Amino acid sequence: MIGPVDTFKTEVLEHLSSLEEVLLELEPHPEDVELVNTAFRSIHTIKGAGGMFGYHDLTAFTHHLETVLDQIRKGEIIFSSDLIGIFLDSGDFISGLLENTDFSDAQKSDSQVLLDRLHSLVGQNNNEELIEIEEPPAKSNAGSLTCFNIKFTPHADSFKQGLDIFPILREIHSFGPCAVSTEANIFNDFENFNPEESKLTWSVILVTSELVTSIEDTFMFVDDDWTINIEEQRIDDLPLDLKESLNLLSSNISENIQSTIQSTIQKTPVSDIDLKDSSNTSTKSNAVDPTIRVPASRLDKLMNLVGELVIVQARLNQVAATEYNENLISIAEELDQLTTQMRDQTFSIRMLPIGTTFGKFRRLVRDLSKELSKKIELITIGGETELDKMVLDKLSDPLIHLIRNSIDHGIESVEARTSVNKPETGSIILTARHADSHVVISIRDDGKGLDTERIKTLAIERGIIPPGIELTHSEIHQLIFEPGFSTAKVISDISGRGVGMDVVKRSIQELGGSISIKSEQGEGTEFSVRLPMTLAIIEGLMVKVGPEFYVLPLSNVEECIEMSSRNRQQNSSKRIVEVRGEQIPFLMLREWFEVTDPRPLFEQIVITHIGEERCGFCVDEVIGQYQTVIKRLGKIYQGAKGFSGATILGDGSVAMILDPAALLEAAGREYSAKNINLKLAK
Amino acid sequence: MSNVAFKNGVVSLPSDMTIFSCKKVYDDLKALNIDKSSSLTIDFSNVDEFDGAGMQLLMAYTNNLIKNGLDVSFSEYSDQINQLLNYANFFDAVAQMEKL
Repeated sequence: MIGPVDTFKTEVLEHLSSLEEVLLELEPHPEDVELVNTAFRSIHTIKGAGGMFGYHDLTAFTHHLETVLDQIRKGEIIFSSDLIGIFLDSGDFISGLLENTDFSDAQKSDSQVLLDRLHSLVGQNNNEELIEIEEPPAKSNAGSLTCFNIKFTPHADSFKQGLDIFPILREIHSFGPCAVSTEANIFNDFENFNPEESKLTWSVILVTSELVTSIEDTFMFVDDDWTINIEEQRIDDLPLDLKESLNLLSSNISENIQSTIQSTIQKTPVSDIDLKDSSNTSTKSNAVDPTIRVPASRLDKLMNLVGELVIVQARLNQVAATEYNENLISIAEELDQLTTQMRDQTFSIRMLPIGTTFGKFRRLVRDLSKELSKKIELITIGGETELDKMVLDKLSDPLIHLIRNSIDHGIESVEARTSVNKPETGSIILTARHADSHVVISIRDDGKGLDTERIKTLAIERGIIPPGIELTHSEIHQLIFEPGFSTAKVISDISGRGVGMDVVKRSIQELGGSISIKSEQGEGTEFSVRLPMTLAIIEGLMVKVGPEFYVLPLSNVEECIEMSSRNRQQNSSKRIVEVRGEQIPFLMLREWFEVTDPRPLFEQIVITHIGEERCGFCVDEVIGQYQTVIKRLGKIYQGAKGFSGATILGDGSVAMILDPAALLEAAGREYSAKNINLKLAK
Repeated sequence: MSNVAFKNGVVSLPSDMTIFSCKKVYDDLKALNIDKSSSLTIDFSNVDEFDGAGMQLLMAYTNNLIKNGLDVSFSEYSDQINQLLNYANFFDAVAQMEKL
């Protein structure tokens, strides 16, 4: 179960992520009021929630940020780039504070450094104390004053859960004059009083220009468990004496008003209020966002169970088909439909838009370009493209590395760019799009492109290729993915620390994906990462080669054709099949897997596409479509090329899942190696 | 040990008046031998930490004292504690208890 404190931490991190995104948007558009308001809301929420969960140092720190943001909203301060830098650093600082409620000595010192930087830019408002702010923040709209009757009953365990009432009351007080009351006379039996259990119901009459949503936000971390009722009425509708008295209120409440409030409360029992369905009544417990938080590990378990279910389903289908029992077949078909729906629903739960990670890339580009004194703009396209959460999590590091490479090695300095008539500001375009059942992410920069001569020289120096070998530009570009390769002349903080593109490539391959590169000297470089949408289940085409079954991802399959006798007679290493006038190379899988069984009389070629290229795989037999649960291969099979995993068949045997791109790459590599040896021999 | 003390008509609250120690404070308050006919002052001078659980306990205890006929007053609360008590309108709640 996720406790309230964990929820708080998660939501703070979400607010920080949103804040970072907004700040980066604000840098080129500092006058955008809506963005400033969004930043203010994030900081305000972190501050309020921090106080509620006992993070008082955090609350005090964020209060300074909130004050400055408020001044920016009022137009008293301009959101300069330096100021944005401080807010970004403050966001980083806050994200490291969530483990303990109080600052350590080092954190206190760090917070002071940040605040000193902040105040050196904007000055400090000396009239303000850290936390004990009494003035209502100037966040109200210019509408008329409204009176709210707020009634809330904390959950009995709220104290034990670390949910205090004071931050709530403090927040409500900050909205405007209010009268708070509770029924303390419920404590009639002190002998049997349980001090750890929250017993009180609180009632507040608040006069404010705030909208009801602001008041609802006060309860955002407790609205699932507490009974909360916010009833709104215009202040003009209040009795005159109460109206006058409220206007006179500053901090204390007159007995007259107290009794009026008490009588109001008595006239309206809790149960009546809670059940009231009025258009101007907001009952938080019923008006919450219909989403729930569950730990990712539970989703993983669910996914695994669905995977097992799919395997059992396949087995049932197989048994039903062999038993020729119509009843069994009917049940199996019905269950098959349900299993497919369940699989798809479970699959969709784990899908996240890739744009959720774009924020950190923008930050990376901003910080590194400043550090390297380069001008770089990051353009993102297709942030809504969805990807399995697990893939997304593991993809982050490789993408960061690729972007760092573009910033460090790709985009030139301002001087270098202007000298070749390029715009001062370089661009990195990050694009995500769906292609079949894959997602293709490309990182394209308009920098200097890869220096093929230098790559080749270095590859020879490092013993990656022998001297004298002739390679195409594309083949030379591929060398940067070789282990230990680095073109950086000087090891910088950005790259060149020995963790190179080979690690990026391996990480992507571990995700069942592939990476390709296109580069034009002087024009720029484009890395394309092709990934499966999920790591869990695929639709496959089962084929047989010798005694073994294999599965090809159906998303790659275009068609199956019978192998002609002419093709069967080809013995050269280059095998080509003609399909409707197009020459398509194919790989004999029985040769690749060194199958010694006799060849069947008729063979099939499965035509697939990998990206924009087409290629075929010759198999003994095409069995048919098969829904496949991917089981990762263990470390012992890490060296096995051409497989993305394995699956368990209905009869309990294992079938390997082929990765057409990796298979072709391995075959191509073998062919190139033979070719290189041949050239060297000549 | 919560360090609740009673001397010369003054109940001194401990430094920690939060959920973490309220059970112990409650037991200690119950154990005090208070003369029911006298007035009593609740002294906040030692209180460093105060949360909703502490305030609820204080309300319940005050209510119990008032019910038993004691005239209860409060002393030595810091500005910060005073502010928290004002947020909850504590003193008016006590006034209501006295009326009942």
